[in-house]
Amino acid sequence: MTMNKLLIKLAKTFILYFAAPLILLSAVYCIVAGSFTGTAYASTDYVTDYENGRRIFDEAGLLTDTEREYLESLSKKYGEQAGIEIIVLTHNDAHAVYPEKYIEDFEDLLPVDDRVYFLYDLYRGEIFMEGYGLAETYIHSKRIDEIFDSVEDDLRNGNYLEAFKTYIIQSAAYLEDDTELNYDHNYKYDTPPADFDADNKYTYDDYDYNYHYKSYYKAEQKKNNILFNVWFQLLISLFIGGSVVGVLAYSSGGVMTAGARDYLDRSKSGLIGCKDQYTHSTVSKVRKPSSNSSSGGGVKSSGGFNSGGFRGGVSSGGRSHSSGGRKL
Amino acid sequence: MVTHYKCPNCGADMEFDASSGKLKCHSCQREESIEKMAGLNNIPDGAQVSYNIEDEDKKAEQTFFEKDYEDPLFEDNSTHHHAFSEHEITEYHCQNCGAVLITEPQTTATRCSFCGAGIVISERLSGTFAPDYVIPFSITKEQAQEAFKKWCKKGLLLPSDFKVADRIKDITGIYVPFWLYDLNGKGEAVATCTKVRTYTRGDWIYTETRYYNVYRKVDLDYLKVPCDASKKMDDSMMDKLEPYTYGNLKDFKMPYLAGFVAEKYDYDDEQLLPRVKNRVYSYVESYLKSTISGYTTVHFNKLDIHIRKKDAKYTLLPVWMVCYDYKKAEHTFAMNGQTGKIVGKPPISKGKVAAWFFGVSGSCFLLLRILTLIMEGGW
Repeated sequence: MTMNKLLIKLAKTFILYFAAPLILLSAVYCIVAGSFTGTAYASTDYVTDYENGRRIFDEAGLLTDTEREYLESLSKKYGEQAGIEIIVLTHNDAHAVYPEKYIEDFEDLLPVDDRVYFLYDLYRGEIFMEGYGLAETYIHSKRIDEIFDSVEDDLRNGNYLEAFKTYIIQSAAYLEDDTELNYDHNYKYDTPPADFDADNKYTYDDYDYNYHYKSYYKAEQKKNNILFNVWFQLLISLFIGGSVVGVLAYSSGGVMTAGARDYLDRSKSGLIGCKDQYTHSTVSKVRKPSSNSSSGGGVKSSGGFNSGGFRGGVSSGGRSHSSGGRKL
Repeated sequence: MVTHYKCPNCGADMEFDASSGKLKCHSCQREESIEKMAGLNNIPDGAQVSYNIEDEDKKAEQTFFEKDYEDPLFEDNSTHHHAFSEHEITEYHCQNCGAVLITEPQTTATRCSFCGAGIVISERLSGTFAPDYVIPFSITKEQAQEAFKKWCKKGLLLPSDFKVADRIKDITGIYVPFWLYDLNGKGEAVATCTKVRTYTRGDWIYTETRYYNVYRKVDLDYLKVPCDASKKMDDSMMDKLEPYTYGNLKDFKMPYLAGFVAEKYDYDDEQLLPRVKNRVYSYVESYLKSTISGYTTVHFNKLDIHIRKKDAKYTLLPVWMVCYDYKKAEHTFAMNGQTGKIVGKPPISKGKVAAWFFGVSGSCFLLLRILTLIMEGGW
């Protein structure tokens, strides 16, 4: 009874003195932490803009309004002609996810359709393309590389309008081109391009890409791991603190230490009957989960990083795509 | 009958001394063995007493003090003579000063509140109330006080002004009546157990479950399981005081009580049997369960446990009761008079609870964040 009283008292004290300030503290922490984490984009705005017909999302502000409107009309025209949506993304956000995931997340916001994306990540100085639906087939890794070859110089020289124009027109053109469609995503340059530097880790063959993003990708996985979640950690800490105080309070008045071992007469006690009889067995079997099935939820877009040469991936929303990227 | 233990040397009252395990006279520091002093008071009627006057005694005789020593044959001159009945509050008088002894019906040993002499009421320690054993105090009052102060300092949640331990109001050595039970527990269990094994063949994962009928029977003897027989003492507090070391268990002799407070039992061994049986039941049960090992699952179909009392011994166990005044409230602590273990309900400081809670939670959280930072390289 007295222990109960103590516990009730403890609980009351806890609520009065700790819970309220704690919630306050946590809120402050989250505001502070939140300002650091900052999500890449406000998803609802993008969806609204997309529904209003926008295809050019120039977050980095590379284009003037007239240039953007020109590209919008171009994208619409060539898109309708090719039967896909041609989308341009740019940003200069230090806290945005890595390019492949950025596009995947964007795609997951939108209704399923045939789309090709071109992302210019100014912060990283990388360009990345992904093709969904029809575009996955028609705009595959090799063709993505070819588009990159065409736009690279313009981007470097700041001719953004020209670069995006080329991308839109060339993408649309590939949809008409039925050759090379059995392309197996194992594209390798027959002969390395002139400026290919095997020692440069930013040269975009798959292996290097993998190398470059390995740490980033792991961090991404960790972010999604519950063990690294701020709230989870706070909860764990509170639990540990509570347990410590609880144990201290409980043991402050002394605990029972005498048990059976103190009174058992070992000389006269023991097991006097013991039988273990096997009766029967049952066996059940399940099929081994196949190794290429997705684990469900979380980050799945590992396809683009396979060092085996396959380029492409699957978004969190389950959309598979072709892909390719390059460091500018 | 009221028994005083008088120093054969100077006639002062003797008390049991925890450090030497003997009766000690505080006036002349003389020590006498318990056996000897017990013998002095237990001489049967009509027996001839041959008392060798030793040198000290001779000296004492020559100094002509009154009551230098009492003739043991005259010890039974209790001041009250009507028959003792259990529920009657009997009045006793101190043989030293004649003051009325304030006793409760349970009291078997106390101090005269007037002159402070240690007194044993032998009437209440005879017949069915004669204890079988006693564990004498091995911690003296001073040691108890020190140990208590030390314990207070160690209490992490205790208020700072409590930790000083400067308000010990009273510290009393009490022989608390216990029953020491010898019990036999027989347990039988029938269980269905399984062993589960998984293995892979080709594309399939197989789970094989093997069923076993398991039978166990145990015969366990538990010796001297203590059970507090005093109404006044808090049961859970007394349980927490255990274990006592039985190496020091002595046959009961009254002089052990001299200078301490002692009580007789309120509950007899039959009344307390269910409580101790319950306790031993759980011992047998966990022993029985521990004999079944190596299985993935255990499901008991039958669990039969029978506890039988083999013996119960009336025993007095030493407890120091410490009364502590703190913020107008009295806190009572009990200390095992043999091992020094302390139990009780100390006041808990809200501030310290808060400090510990926030300290531990905060540092845990910080640590986790730092770990995350290291492994993630960012917020």
